[in-house]
Amino acid sequence: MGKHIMIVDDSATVRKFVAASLTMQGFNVVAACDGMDALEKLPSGTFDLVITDLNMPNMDGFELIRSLRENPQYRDLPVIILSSLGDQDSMATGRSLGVQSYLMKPFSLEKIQYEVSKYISWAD
Amino acid sequence: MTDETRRNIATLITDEDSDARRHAAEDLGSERGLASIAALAAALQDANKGVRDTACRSLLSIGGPEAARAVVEYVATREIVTRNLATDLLVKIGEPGVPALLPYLSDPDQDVRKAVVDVLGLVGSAVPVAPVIALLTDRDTNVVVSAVEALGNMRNPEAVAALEDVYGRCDYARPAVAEALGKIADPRSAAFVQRLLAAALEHTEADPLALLGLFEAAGAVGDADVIALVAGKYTAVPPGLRSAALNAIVRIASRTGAPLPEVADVREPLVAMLGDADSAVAGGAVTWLTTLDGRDVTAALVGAYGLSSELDAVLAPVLRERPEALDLLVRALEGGAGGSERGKSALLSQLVLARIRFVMRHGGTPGDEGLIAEAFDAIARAWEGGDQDTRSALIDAMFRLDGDRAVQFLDAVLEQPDPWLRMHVIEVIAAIADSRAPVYIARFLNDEDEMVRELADNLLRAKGFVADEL
Amino acid sequence: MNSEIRPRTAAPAPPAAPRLPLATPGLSSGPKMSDDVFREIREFIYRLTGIYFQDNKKYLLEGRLAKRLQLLGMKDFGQYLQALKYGAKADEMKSFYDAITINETFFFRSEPQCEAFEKTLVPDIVAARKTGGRTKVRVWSAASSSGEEAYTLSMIYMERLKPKFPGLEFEVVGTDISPTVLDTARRGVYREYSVRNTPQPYMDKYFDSADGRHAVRDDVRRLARFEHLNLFDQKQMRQMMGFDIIFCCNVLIYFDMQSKIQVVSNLYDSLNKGGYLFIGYAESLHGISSAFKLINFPKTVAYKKE
Repeated sequence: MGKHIMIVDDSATVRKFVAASLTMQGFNVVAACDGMDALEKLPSGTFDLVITDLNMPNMDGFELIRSLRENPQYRDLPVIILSSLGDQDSMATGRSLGVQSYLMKPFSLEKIQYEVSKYISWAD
Repeated sequence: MTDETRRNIATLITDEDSDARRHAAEDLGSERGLASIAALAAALQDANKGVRDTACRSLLSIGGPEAARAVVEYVATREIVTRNLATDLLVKIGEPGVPALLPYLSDPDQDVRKAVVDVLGLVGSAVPVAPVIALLTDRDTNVVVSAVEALGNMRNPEAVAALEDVYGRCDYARPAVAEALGKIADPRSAAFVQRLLAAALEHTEADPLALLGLFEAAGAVGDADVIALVAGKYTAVPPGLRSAALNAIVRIASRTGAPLPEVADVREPLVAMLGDADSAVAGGAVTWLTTLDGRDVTAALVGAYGLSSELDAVLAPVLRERPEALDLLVRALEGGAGGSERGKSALLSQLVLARIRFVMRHGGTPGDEGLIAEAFDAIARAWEGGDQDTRSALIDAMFRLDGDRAVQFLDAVLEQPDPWLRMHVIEVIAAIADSRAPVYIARFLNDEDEMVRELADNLLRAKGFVADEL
Repeated sequence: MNSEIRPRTAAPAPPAAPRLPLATPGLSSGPKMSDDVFREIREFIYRLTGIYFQDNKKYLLEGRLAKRLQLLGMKDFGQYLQALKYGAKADEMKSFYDAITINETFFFRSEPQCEAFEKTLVPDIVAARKTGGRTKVRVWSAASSSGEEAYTLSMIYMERLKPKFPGLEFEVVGTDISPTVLDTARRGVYREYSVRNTPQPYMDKYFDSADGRHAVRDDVRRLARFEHLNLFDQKQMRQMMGFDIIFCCNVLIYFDMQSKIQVVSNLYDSLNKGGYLFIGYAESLHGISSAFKLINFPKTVAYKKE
C-alpha cells in the first residue's frame, strides 16, 4: 500500500538519487528510463505522481505528458517536470500541458521532497 | 550515385505518403554516399514517427564518422524530438563519432554542452578525458553535474583529482561525485571516499544523498577499514540509509574476503533488502542473513525464493541446510505466496529430495507424512496458472512426493490438447521403477496424437513389453 | 464483459492416503545433445525462423527433438541436424517446426486486450473510415497457434460489434509456423482446458459442446482463416498487407533483439495507417521500435501506426 511515484529519466544517477529521496519518505518508487518505458510500465500499477525529465531517447518528456493528458485514465495524474532545460519555451510548453510543477536540475533532496508533498500527502 | 538512390532520396524528401518515405529511408540504409546520409539525417525531422524510426535505423547501420558528422549538427537544434534522436544515435554510433562531437563542448548554449557531454559519457572509455575535465569549471551547474557523471562512466583515474576538487566546491554535485568515484575503482579514489565517508558520518547534518553516494562508492572501492568505520557508526546512520550502509559492508566483504562485522539490529533491514530489484543487493543480504539463525530468517529467505534465478542459485544451497525450510515453504505455497510458484515448486522438489536422502542416510521414520500431503496440495494448486516449464517442474515434484497421488492427479489433468505435456508425463512415468508404470503408459497407445502414440509404443518396446500382453 | 466472466477451473484429484515417494524419477534419460551440436542446431533454427534458444533452454530442445530421433531411428542429434540441412522431406520439416514451437494459448486469454479491442480499437477504425457504404476490418492473429485467439476475436465481433456496426465486414487471418496447430485451428474443436476462461454467454452462443469437446460454431469459424507463415521470412511477411489490427502475443519473446526489430518493422508495414498492434502482457517494444504511438488502456498498451 502507500503512494506510488514514477520517476522518468534517462540518467541512472538521477533515477537512483530521486528514488532514494522518495523512498526515504516512505513512497514506493518505480523508475523508467524514458517516456516509452514509462508508458509501458504504467499499467503495472496505480500511480499517484509522475516526475519526468524532458530530454530522453525513445520518447521525450513532453510527448509523455501529452500522451498522459490525452488519456482519460491519466488526465488528472499529477506531473512534475525535473529538467535542466530552463528556457522560456520549455517552461511555457510545460505550463500549457498542465504540469503541476517545473523543477530545475540540479535538484536537492529537500526541494524534491517538498514539491512532491504538495501534490501527494504522506505515504500511508 | 545510382538512379535508384536518387529516386529514394527524392522520395524521402518530398513524397507525401509516409509509407513511401519510410521505404525510401529503409533502402537508403545500404547506401554510403554523403547525399543519402545527409537525406537520412534530415529525415530525423520528418513529421512521421515511422519515417524517423527507420531513418535512425538506417543511419545506425551505416554508422561511422560519416553518419556521425551528418547527425551532430542536429544536437544543437531547439527541436526536442530531433535533438533527442540525434543524441541517441550518437551514443549508439559510439567511438567513431567522438571527433565530430568534441567541438560542441564549447558551444555557447549550455543545453548543447550538456547534451554532448552526456553522449560522451555514455560512449565511455574511448573518449579523451581532458576536454570533459575542463567542463568541471563550466559556468552552468547542470553541465558540471553532467561532466561529473560522464567522468564516472568513462572510468578514467586521471579524473580523480579534479573530482575531489569539485566535491569541495560544489555541494549540489556531491552525490554525483561520490558515485563517480565509486565507478573509477582506483586507489586514490578509494582513499578519498574513505575520508569523505568518515567526515560525513561525523556530521549529523550531512546531505543524505551524498552519504548514499558515498556508501555506494565505498561498496565498490572500500576495504576492511571501511567496514569497521561503517559498522562502528551504524547507529548514527539515518534509518532510510541503513540498507545502503549494510549493502556497502556486504559488497566490501564479498570483494575482499573480509569477515562480516557484528552489528546489532540488522535483521529487519537485511530482510527488506531481499526484495531489492538489484540482485546484487538482494544477494548481499542473503549472504549476511545466512550467518544468522532463526526461523524468521529462514522464512524471509524462503519468501525471497523464486524472484530471480541469480538469487535462487544463491538461496537454494542455503535453504537445503536449514531444516525448517521445507515446512516454511509449504506454508508459503499454501498462502499463495508471491514470487514465482514455479520457482518455489522447483525448490520444494529439491528440499524433499534432500529430506529423503537425509532420512535414508540417518535412518528413522520418514515422518512428516502430513507435511508431504500438504506439499502435494500446494503444488496441485500451482498447476492451474503454470506454464509448460512450470508444469514440468511440478510433475517432477509431485512424483517425488507421492507417486500414487501424482498418477491420480495427472489422470484428471491430462484432459488438455497439448501433446507435449502428455509426452513429458509418459517419460517421467517411464523412469519410475514401479510395476504400474508400463500399464499406465499403455493407455497412451490409443492417444489421439500420433507422436504420443509412437512415444508410448517406443518406450514400452524399450522396456521389453509388447502391447497385447498388458 | 466483467460481470459475465466466470472462469471455470478444473479441480485437482481428491486426496488419497499419503505414501512415501517412489524411487526418485529424473527427467528423460534419452539421447544427450552435446553443447557443440546444440549450438549448431540453435544457429540453424535461428537462421530459419528467428527463434533463438537460450543456453538454459537446451534441455527443452533436447527433449523435443529426442522424439524425432526415436521415430526416425537415429542415434544422435548431429545426424538429425545433417538430415534436416541436406535431406529433409517437407514432412520432416513440418514435424521439426512443431517440435521447436511452443503453443500455449486459450480463449479470452487477455481480458484487457479484448476490452480495448471491442470498446476502442474497432470503433476507432470504423470512425476513421469516412467513406460511406461498406467498411471492412481486417485482423491478423500472428502466431495464432491452435486458433483460440482468432476465434475469440471473431466471437467478440459477433457478440458486441456486429450489432453496433451492422454494415461492418470482419475478417481474421491466423498464421503460424507449426502445421499441426493450424490443422487444429481449422477444425475448431477444443477441450475444457482451452475454454476455461470463456464467459458463459459466449459458451452458450458460439460453441457446440458435448463430452468435454467444444466445437466453435460455423458462423464464427467462417470469419477466420488460417495460413502457414514464418514471421522471419521476409517474402512471406511482405504478402501480409492491409491489416487494421495485429495481435502478436507471446511470440516475440523467442526472438533475439535483431530478429525482434525485423519482425516488428514488418508488422508496422503490414498495418494500415491508423492501425494497431498488440503484443503480450509482459512484453515491450522498447529498444525494438519507436515507430508507433503508444496508447494506454486499462491494464494494457496498444501501439498505433499513425
